[in-house]
Amino acid sequence: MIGVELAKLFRRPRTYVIAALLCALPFIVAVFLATTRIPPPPGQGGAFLSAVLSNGALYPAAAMALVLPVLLPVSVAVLAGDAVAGEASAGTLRYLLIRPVGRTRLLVAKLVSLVVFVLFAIATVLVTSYLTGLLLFGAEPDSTGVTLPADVTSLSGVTITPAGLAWRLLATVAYITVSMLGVAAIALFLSTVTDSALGAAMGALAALVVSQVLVTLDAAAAVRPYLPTRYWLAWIDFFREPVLWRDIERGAALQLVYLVVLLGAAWANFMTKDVTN
Amino acid sequence: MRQLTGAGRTVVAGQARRRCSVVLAVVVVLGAVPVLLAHRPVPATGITPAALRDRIAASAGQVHQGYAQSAGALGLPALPNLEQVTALVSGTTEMRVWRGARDRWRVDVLGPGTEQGLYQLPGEQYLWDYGESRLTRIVGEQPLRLPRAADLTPPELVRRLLSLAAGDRVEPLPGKRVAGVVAAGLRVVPVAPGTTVAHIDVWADPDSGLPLQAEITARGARRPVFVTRFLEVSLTAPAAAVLDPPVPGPGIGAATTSAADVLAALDRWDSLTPPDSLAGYPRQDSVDGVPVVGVYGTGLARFVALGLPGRLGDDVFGNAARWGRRLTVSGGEAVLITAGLLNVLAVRAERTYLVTGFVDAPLLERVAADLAGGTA
Repeated sequence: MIGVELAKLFRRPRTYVIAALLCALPFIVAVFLATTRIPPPPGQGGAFLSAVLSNGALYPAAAMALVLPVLLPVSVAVLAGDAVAGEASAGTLRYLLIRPVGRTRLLVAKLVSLVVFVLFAIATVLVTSYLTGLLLFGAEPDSTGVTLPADVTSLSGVTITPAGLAWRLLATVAYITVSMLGVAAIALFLSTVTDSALGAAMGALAALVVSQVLVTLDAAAAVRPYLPTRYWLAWIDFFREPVLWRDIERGAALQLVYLVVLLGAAWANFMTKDVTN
Repeated sequence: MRQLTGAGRTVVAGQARRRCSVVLAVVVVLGAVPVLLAHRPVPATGITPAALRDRIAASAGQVHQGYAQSAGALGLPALPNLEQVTALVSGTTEMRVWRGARDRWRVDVLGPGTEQGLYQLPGEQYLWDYGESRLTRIVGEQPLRLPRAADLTPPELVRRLLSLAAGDRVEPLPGKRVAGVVAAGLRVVPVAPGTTVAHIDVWADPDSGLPLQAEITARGARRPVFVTRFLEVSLTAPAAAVLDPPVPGPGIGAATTSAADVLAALDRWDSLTPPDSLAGYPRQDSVDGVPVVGVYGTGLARFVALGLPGRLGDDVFGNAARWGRRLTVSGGEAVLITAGLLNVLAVRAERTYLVTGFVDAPLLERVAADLAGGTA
């Protein structure tokens, strides 16, 4: 079942279109930065953007900060919202379940497919933005003629070795993937409630917008630690020295709670849902 | 066709209800975990407020490391060149703290994608600013400086406030868990007239005396207007490498300044020395031989008067005038910004002065009259 879903994921052109859109934003920003050499003031604009002019190898981190707040969650919400509701509205859900395919297995396969999509999309952004960074901001041949990225400085001022940068970027990919689990779970749950893929995606996005607004509101401080987007930017803490694990751990745990609860709700609702289309 | 199980209920509906109940139970359990953890009973610490106060005063050498947060709701406007100071008391500041000794510590101020680190070494400090990509070395003890985030960590702020409130009354407070540590509490109630502080609540580790949380409540306020606390803390020594400042590398600006430079700059402002007395309180120099900043009053009702040179003074006064209430004083102009706990007064007469402290409006109105050279 998982294999079928993955094959379907990578057969569909929309997967590549979405990945291309995700890659396009950092590329466009890089072109503007490289041509004008006007970085945003420190602390404003996307994270790391003010540093990439001298540290091209850090551009993948800046690219993550660009796609994470809006583009990536929108992509995940659209795909997750379409996961079950899309099958229902297309009239294929009934045939799918007749094959027979267990409903729990179908939900798990849909979720695994979404996780693989997020990994694929982030990896694509990582690779393209790394190449973009080296190409536009920093690539100097050393004494042996080998082209190396410029040194990367951590937020704490300590120079990050290439190996250190590699594990930090991989950890960032893993953390952002986990962060998207909450979005996927919300949209997947709504996808089992409605037959409208658009409605499910919009519902998930509405939940995220509400969360984003409340995160910035001091009056909502009591609920802030439980909001799904509260710890989304905690991956930046991988680039501090020493790494600040506090928010990273809380963010990962919170996403797992959302996943358990909403996937459970989706399962409870979907198991006995009448498939009428 | 669905089977009926009685009272019109179907087997399918029963299964759905059972599944929903399971999910609901999971939600309740997961939601209850943080509530139960937060409301665990706190054992009595058995330490008197006076003993706790003494231990806090003696805790400066206590090694520790942790994550602290300060949050102020004073709502002060951003005054020119003082934006960072007003932000400290009007917003939230996230800090990482490592303390290996009195003269060997580090405090990082964290922001989304930014970081500023202050490294204290014997006889010198290093200030790292990621946004500016600059490392500044400060040689010697700074005789005079503006408040900074490192002053707001619970240990630093509490020790400073308790030294100011040395003669004030202390009362016991129930213990509470702060960052997982069972902390003993005390309340300081100021006796000095004219202060805006209603009380200061402090919680500290009863064994080491390390302050873990402080809450300052203004007169007339129902909730604290400034809170600083550890969210995570460990009473262990940090690794030595953590306390080493960054090494300047390619792309990093480096600068050095010294205490002597600061004193030389202050000498140029000698003519801005505040009056010998304000509102009936004699001036005490904040630093011996440096009269440009005057300290007046006693206890928590102390206030600071700072003379500002021409253009800077005009900028500060103009900005204060946009936010504050104009006072009627003869011989000059005065603006009072009241923020509940910390009030700010700007006076422009022959010279421009900025006055601030935990002091109330009537006292500052008397100060304004004195600085303007007339009576209100």
